[in-house]
Amino acid sequence: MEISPWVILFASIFTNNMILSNFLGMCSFIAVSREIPTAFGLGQAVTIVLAITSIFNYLLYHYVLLPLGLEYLRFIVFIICIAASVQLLEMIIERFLPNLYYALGIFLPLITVNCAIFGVSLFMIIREYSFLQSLAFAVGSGIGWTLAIVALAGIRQKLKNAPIPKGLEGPGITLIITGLMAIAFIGFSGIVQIQ
Amino acid sequence: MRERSFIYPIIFMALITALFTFLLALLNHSTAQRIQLLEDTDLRKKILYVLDIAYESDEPEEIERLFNQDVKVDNSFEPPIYYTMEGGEVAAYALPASGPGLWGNIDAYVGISADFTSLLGLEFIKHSETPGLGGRISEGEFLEQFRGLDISSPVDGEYIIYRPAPGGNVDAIAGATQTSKSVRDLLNKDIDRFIIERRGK
Amino acid sequence: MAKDKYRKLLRLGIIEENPVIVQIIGICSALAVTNLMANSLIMGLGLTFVTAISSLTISLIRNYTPKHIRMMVQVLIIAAYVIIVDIFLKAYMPEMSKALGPYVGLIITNCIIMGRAEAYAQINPPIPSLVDGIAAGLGYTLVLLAIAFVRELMGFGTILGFRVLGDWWTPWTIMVMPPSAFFLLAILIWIFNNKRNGEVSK
Repeated sequence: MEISPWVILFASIFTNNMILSNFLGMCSFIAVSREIPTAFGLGQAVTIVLAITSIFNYLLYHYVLLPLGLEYLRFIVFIICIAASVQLLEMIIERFLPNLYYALGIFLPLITVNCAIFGVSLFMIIREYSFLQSLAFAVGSGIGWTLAIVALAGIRQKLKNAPIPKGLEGPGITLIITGLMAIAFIGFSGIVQIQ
Repeated sequence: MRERSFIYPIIFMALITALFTFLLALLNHSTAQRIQLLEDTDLRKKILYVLDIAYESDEPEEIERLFNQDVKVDNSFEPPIYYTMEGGEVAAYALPASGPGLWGNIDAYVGISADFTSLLGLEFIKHSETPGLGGRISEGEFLEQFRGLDISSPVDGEYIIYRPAPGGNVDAIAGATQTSKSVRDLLNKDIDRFIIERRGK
Repeated sequence: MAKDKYRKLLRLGIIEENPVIVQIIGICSALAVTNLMANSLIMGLGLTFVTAISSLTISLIRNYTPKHIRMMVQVLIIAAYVIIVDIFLKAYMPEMSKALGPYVGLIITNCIIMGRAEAYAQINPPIPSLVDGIAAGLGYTLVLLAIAFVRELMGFGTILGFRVLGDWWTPWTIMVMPPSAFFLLAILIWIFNNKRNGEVSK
């Protein structure tokens, strides 16, 4: 398949944003989007985990599972790889960036079950991407996810003094904002010409 | 005591992994044949549809029988070209058509009559388009448009043109411009190449 | 006595502590498959099955599971059951398997299953854990069906595939697209919160 990795990178950030088009990674998205610095930190962590796990999962799938006829075990292999990467990253962040570590709290280990990370590994297999395409897809998805969560955090910070109806406070208004962002991002869809 | 031991978690993890892997291997093995049969039947049904051969029963055996009876396959191509015969002559072809979609490759089969004047049918074998949007190219409503389409007079090598463009003969999917365009382009490209190659013989 | 306890667990899971509307977890797939009711139903049933049986299994081995690898064990068990569901769909409901596509695999990362495992199954006996899992799954399924009902009706004019609205209805394409799910879920949460706040202030 001849789609350039750069096109995939661009597309995953804007036209097929993981959160706004595919809905993956919502849980921590809604919870951690209150403050911009924390949101940005989480976004970076997610991007790093995406890059690492996409490389490993690609290699594991194509050089271990496929030759041995064990494709049906891919879910287990992928998620364990993700869990291990997150554990590793958690140890590194705790050592070198303690402020971020405390700010993220429970959401750092929860990156393990972030649908976006698992989804990227799944999609890259389904769409039969090559190694470079997979990497571009993973990094692009991470950047797109970070972009969305930072934008959302920015909007929420501005909304702090706005008169939101009581029933909508918190998750309600966050979902509506996200929906509006999703509509806005649909406007990007004509940019990428895949030919 | 158990919790402190270093070796215990490793043994535990290994045991659990072994148990579940065994369970899954068992399940996979027992359903592999059935899944393969379903996939084969699916492909056969699609080829039959594309060649406009009606089938009444969905039973795998029945489909297989009908398929083997009416459809011939030319395995010198990858993916293979299927065709039907009538009175010793080729009546129709089912040729593979594929190209990049919005999100991944789109693989399809399109049936055309042996005199290259009409398109008999279209079906998608594989695609990764957005469910509910581009994914609707697999739906009957979109596919049925291609039934019996007149392709005897292409415009600049274009057999499929979306309305409202001049010469339009089918409708794209609302809200799925990219995917619709990808489908049109891959069909035009592969149909054109096939006809030119065959006519040359 | 036990029956009351189970009824309470069911009520908690489906209404008061509904995973999607109240706890706001497990929304990824809740938003993605709700364009059609049929997809939502199968997804919901699949998730209920996996949550229930994972909670049961995790609860059964909770006293033997070493603390610091418990997340990996949970994830392994959940992944295994999801693979079972995936294989089952491929073999016996291939159309549904194609419609749900990658979202079946994504059940693994659905926060609800992990959430129930950590919050309940890890510290409670097997049968209540099973009921708790079923309750959370049912709560999820009901919310999904509610959203899908609106999206399918207004986006396609059908309910469960049966044409309900005639040609006079111009489909709202927005309902077919992702953003509508965000808005509908927000509205559901709003209605639910208002009801709850209304009861509290009485």
